[in-house]
Amino acid sequence: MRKNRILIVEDAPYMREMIIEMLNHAKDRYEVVGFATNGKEAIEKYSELKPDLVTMDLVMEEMDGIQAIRKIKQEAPNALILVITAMDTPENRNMAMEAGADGYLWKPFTINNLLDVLEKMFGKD
Amino acid sequence: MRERGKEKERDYFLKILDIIEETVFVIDRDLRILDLSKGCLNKFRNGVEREVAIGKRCYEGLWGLEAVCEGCPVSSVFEKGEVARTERSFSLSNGTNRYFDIEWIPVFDEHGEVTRVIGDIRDVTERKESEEKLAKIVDGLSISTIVINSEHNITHWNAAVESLTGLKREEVVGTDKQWLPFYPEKRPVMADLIVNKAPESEIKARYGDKYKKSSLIEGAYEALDFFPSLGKGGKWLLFTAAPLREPNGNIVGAIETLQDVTERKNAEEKLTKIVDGVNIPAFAINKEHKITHWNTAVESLTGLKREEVVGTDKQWLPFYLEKRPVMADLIVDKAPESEIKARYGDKYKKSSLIEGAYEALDFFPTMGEEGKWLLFTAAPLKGSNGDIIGAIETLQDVTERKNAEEQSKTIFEHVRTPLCLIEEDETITSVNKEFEALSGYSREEVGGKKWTEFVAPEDLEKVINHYYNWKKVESPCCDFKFVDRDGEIRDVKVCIVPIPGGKIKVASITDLTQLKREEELCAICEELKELDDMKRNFLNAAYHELRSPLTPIVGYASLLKCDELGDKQKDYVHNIEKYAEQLRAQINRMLELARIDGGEMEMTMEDVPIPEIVEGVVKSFKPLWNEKEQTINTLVPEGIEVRGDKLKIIAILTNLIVNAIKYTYEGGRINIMVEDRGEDIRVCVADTGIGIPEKHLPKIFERFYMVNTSLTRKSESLGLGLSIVKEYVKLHGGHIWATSELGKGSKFFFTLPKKENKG
Repeated sequence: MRKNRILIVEDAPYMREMIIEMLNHAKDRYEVVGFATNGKEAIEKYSELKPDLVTMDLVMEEMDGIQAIRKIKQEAPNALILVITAMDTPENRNMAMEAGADGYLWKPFTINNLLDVLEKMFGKD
Repeated sequence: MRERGKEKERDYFLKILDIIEETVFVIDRDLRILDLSKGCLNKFRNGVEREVAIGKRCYEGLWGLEAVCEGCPVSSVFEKGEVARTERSFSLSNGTNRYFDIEWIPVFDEHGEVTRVIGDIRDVTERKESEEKLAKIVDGLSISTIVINSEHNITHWNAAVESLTGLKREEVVGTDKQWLPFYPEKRPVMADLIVNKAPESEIKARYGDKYKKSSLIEGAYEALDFFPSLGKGGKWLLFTAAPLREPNGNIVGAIETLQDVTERKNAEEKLTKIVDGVNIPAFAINKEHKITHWNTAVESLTGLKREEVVGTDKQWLPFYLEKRPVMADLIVDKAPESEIKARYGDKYKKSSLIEGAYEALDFFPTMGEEGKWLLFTAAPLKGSNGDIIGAIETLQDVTERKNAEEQSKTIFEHVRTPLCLIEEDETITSVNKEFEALSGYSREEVGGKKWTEFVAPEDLEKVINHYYNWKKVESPCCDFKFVDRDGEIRDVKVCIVPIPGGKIKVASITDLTQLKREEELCAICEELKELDDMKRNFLNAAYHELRSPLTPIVGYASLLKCDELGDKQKDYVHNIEKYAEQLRAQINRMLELARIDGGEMEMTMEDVPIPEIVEGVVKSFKPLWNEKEQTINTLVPEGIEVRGDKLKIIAILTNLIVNAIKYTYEGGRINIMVEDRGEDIRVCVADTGIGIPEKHLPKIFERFYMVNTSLTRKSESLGLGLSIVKEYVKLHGGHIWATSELGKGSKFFFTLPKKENKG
C-alpha cells in the first residue's frame, strides 16, 4: 500500500517536530516528504514534491496560509489541504474554506485529533 | 197779532240773553248796544247793571273803552248782510291785554233789511299767544318747518324752509300750496295727512316703507324720501309731521319739519360703495351705534350675514362674549384716549394715516376654531360740518402672520444658541434664555444696553471695525472676547445678520470657550478609545500567546500516552491533559469576550428550530446527567422557531444546562420550559440545586464573579460563562435573568425575539 505523502507548512519548529512525531506513530500510512516555513516556500515545495496532502498554518510571514492555499488550489485543484491553526474564529474558517481548504484542525490538538481528521480526508477518496 | 208775536219773540230773546253764559250782544245801525247777555256782563263788566251798558257804543258798552272802530267790518255787515269777523286785542281796564275773536251775524227784518247785528265774542287770547309763540319758535328754527291749520292752510313757513324750497313765506302763507315745492301736482303732504287723521294704511299707501311712526311724538310720522324737483339734481329729505292739538285734544293743525340729508345720503351711498367694494372685512356704524354697512368680507370673517346685523348694534357679537363697545363705538362716542387705553392696553395705537382713527391688534379666542388675531382700524365718518356722524372699522385677519411670528418667537426663545435682537442704534431689544445664561444678566437688565458693552475693551476696536465695514467683509461673523456680568471672559463668535424687511438685526453667539472645552473632551474621548483598542489588542495578543504553548503541551501529552506508561504516569498525563483543557477553555472564553467587546462578533442569522436544539443539547450531555442519576424534563411547543445565530443559541443553552447539571445534587431534577409569548420566546432552565443567595443574583452575569470561592474549584471556571451567555442573549435582542431559592434551586430565564432585532 502506497503511503500518503505529506508536506508540512508551519513556521514554528516545535510544531513541525511535533507533527512529525505524531505522524511517526502511523508510519505505515503517512510519510512526511518535506516542510516549508512560509506561504511562498510552500508553493515552491508543492510544485517540487507534489505531496498528497499539505498541512497549512495560517499565520506566517512572507505569505500567509490563505494566499498559499489559493495558489496551490489554482495549480492543483485535487491537492488536499488541512488547515491547522490557533485562530479558530468563524471568519478564519470561512476564509480558509473559500480559499479551498479541505480540512480544518485547530490548536491545541492531540495525536488522535490529527490522525482522525487525516483518515477522514483520505477516506473521502 | 203780528206785533204781539214780535213782542213775544223779543221777550224770549231777552230772557235768553238774560240767562246765557255765552258772551253775545246785539247792536243797531248806530252801533249802539241794544242788549247783551249775562255772560258779557259777568265776564267783561264785573256784573254792571244791563241798563248801564245798553245804549252805549259797542266797545264802550262792553268794556267801558273808547271806541276804536277802525277797520271794524260791522258797517259792511249792515250793508251786505254777510257774516264778518274781527280779531283784535284790547287793552282792558284791569290792565290786561286780551285777544278777542268777534263774529258779526246780521239779523234781517221782514223786508230783508239788516236791522241789527249780533256780536258773538270769543276770548282767543290763549290760542293767539300760543300761535305767536309757535310762530316765533318756527321762525327761529334752523330746521325747515311748515305749519298748517285745520283748513290745510299754511300758517308758518320759516326762513329755513324758504331757503330749502326757494319759496318765500309771502307766496305761500294762507294758501294750501305746501305740496308745491315737493311734488309736480297737488297732493297731500305728510302734515295734511296728519290733519286729516289719516289711518296708517293711507300713510303706508303714500310712502311705502320709507315712513315710520315717530317714537317720540304721539301721532307723528317720519319719512325719508327723495325729491327730484328740489335743488340741483334733487334732495333727500327726512321729514317729520306732528299734530298740533288744542288743550282738549282736538287737532287744529300740523307741524312738519324737513331735514336735508342729501349729503349724508350721498356719503352713505359712497360709503356703501367703498365698504361693499373692498375685499377687506369692513363695517360702518352711525351716530346711534347702529350698523349701517357690513360687507361681504366681514360676513365671511364673522359668519354673520348683513341681514342679521344691519340696523342693530350687534357689532360686538362676533368678537366678544358679551356686549361691549367695539373700537368704532368708541370713535363715535369720541372716547378719550385714556378710555381706549383702558380697553386695549398696549395693543392699540393712533393711526398715523387718518386723524382721529385708532388701530389695534388683538386675539379673539371665540372666533374660528382656535381663535383669530385681528388687526382692526376704526376711523370717524364726518359730516360736512365736521361732526362725527358714524365710524367705519376695517378688520384684517392676521392669524397666520401672528402664528408665524409666535413660531419665530418660540424658536428664538428655545433655540440652544444665545441670541439677541439689535436695534439700529446698536441697543439690545430682546434676548433669549441662552443669552441670559451666557451673559449672566436677566432680559430686563439687558434691555437698552448696547451690545458693544459686552465686548472686552481690548477687542472693541477690532469688533467695531469689523461690523462697521461688514458689508465689505465676507463674513458677518467676528470672534472676540465676551465679558459677562461677573467680568468673566469667554471666547465667542458672533454673527450679526439683518432681519429682512426691518432695521433690526439678530446676533447669534457661539461660545467658543464651551466649544473648546468640548473639543478637548472629544480629544480625551478619542484617546481613551485608542487606549481601549490598544488594551483589547494587547489582551488579544496575550491570549493568543498564552494559547500557543498549549498546543505542544496537549500534543506531547497525547504522544506520551502512546507509549507504555505505569499507572502513576498515566495519572500524571491525565492531569496534564485535564488542566491544559481547562486553560484552553478559559482562554477561549476570554478571547470570545474580547471579540464581543471589540464589536467583532458576527451573527449568522437563520431560522433556528428550538425543540430540536433543546433536544440536541440535552442529548449531548446525557453521559453527564446520567452519571449523576438526574432526570431532565423538557416542555417545548412544537415547531417553534426564532431568528438567530444557531451556534450561539446552542452555546447559551449548553452553558445553562451544563450549569444546571453541575449545581444539581445527584438524583435531582432539571426542567427546561420554552414559552411562546407571541413576539418572543421565554426559555426557563430550572435546577434543583444549591441555589444562589439573593444578594448575589444581580451579579452572577458579571465577569469574573463567583458566588462561592469554594465552588470555583469545584466548578472549574473563572465565571466567564454566564457573562458570555448574557452577551449572546443581548446580541439577539433578548434579556436574561435568574431567580433562586437557597437549597431548593435556581431558575434561569432568557428571552429571544422571534424576528431579527436590528439595533
